[in-house]
Amino acid sequence: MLDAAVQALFIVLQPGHLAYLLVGVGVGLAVGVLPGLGGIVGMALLLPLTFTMDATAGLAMLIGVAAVITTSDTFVSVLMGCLARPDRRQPSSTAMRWRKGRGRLRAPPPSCFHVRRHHRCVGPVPVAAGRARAGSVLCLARTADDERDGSLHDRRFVGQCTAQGHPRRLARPVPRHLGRLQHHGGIPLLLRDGLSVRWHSARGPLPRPLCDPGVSGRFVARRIDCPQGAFRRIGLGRGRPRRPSELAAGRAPFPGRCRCRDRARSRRLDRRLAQLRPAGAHRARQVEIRLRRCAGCDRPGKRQQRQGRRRADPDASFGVPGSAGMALLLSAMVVQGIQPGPRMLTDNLQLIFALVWSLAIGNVVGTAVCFALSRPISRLALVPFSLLFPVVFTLIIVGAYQSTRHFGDLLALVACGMLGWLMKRFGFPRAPLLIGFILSALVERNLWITLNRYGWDWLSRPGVLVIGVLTLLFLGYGLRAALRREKSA
Amino acid sequence: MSKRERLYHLAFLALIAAVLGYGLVTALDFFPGGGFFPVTATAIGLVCCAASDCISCGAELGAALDASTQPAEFSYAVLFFCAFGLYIAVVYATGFFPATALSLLVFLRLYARVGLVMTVCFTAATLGGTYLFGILLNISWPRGGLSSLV
Repeated sequence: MLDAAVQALFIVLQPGHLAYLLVGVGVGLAVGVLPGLGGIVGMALLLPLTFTMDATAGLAMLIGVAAVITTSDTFVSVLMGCLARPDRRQPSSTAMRWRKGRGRLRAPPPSCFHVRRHHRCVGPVPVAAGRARAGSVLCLARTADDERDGSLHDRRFVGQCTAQGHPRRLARPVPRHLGRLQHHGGIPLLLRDGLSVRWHSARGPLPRPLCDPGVSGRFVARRIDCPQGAFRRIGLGRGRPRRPSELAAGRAPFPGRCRCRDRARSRRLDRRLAQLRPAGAHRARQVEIRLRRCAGCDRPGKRQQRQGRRRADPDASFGVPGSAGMALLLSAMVVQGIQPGPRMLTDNLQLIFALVWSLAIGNVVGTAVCFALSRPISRLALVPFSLLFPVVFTLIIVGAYQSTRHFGDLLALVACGMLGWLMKRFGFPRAPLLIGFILSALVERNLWITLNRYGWDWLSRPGVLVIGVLTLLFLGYGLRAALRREKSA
Repeated sequence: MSKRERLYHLAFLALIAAVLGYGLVTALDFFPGGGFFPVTATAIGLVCCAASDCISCGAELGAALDASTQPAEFSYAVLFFCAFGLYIAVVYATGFFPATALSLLVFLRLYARVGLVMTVCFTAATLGGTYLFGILLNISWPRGGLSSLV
């Protein structure tokens, strides 16, 4: 095994292999820091290009992208306060909070300092993006709101509000009823991260901290108010109520923990949120979801990178992708003729070690590049969507055409795009479809082999029965949880 | 969920169910061993479609799972996909580079309201970068009727 590890290291350190790995890291960062895309998209774009490449080089390139997915997505999340990709949870609310007087972050990731330093550069984003970025338009504003009950007296927010849909919709207020959380005057816009955001029309001069000289035009973030004591009241445990940032700092060492896994905490949050849930129950539920996400789950850091590093091996070993990125990686393996599964540990041990080494080197290189380029990357937030669109559009077309090099690929691209949009529109998660698409070929092939070998008797074998019962239990548990959530909402 | 939203949701579920039903009927004609997986998968899909509608797991719970999803305008989506379809038709007729250049020019100039010089520069830079990218990685482009003639 040690020999295989050493040989794999020498393979990874070959100039060609290393070059492809670095190309992957570069593409992953370049595409990942583009708002609305994320590292997964970079991986998807490069996937068809690996079909014609050597297996090790192609996988190295994809591993390079996978190594920096977390880092590149964090840039977008922290810098612009928007989701880097749809399944990305929102860390920005907790990460971008400052304490008044101390002027430091509660849970500072490195790039937040750049946000703090360059927030006035990021400020014009809504103006630039408001015209062109159809997906997400954000505006950035600071507020030191002395809430009427004094609950927010000790904090400042870098808040952000996001308007979805076509930018023209921003020209008029978005009619939304936010229940009792909207208790100030102004135009309710949208609820995000527990912030009840109001879009105040221009009525006289603004308070100085709220003015951003770089922002002009229609889409000026005038003021962001917070719900009365919302963050304050959603504290945990006894004693002083804690803020979501503190929760995030405390729970960050436990990546992957989510609201469903801590029942006691969930119940406490329920009690706290019951105070905030008068008439607008649905909106309060959204607040809850947002807060639980930002409080517990997602402050990308070393642990998550380690987790991603660990995750690749079981994915390859068991042939079951744990995420969309790993599903893409497994599909690349399948296309290259490498069958993911337990036999990889015996047949392709050297490749496994090569993947591990590639991930390690990719992480180191990606971290170094991020540290070196964090300042210019933060300026990418100023690039409007209209200038990003040509590059992204061209890459998507070229990438989609490479699978079979037929026009049907482009039609399939349109069809899949429509399906994805409809699923997003109607609230169906898309990642399971992708994972199922990848797994279906494996399942069908192995099912066919099993049927030929055992006939229908395989259904009565003990192992199959145990796995079937466990599957049904998990399914029932998921349905029960879904019904409960539906009932509580 | 409003009535219209509910209607759209049902229409989407009906579309999915129709596709799955077509797959099920087709798979029933397969020979017994080969048809087992498609029949099972489509049947489970149909059951899930029905269950999704019955317990309203589709819209509101799905929205909770993907909280970043916000309703977008159908009209813009339809416009976008129509434009995409038109682009593919132009690619089929003229090839990748002319069609992409045309579409980028139209988008940047008419939709994004970018200046003429910037439009030309960005289009040229994008296509030039793509061409170099293709040479480096040995990738091919869609060739249309016009490209074949040339």
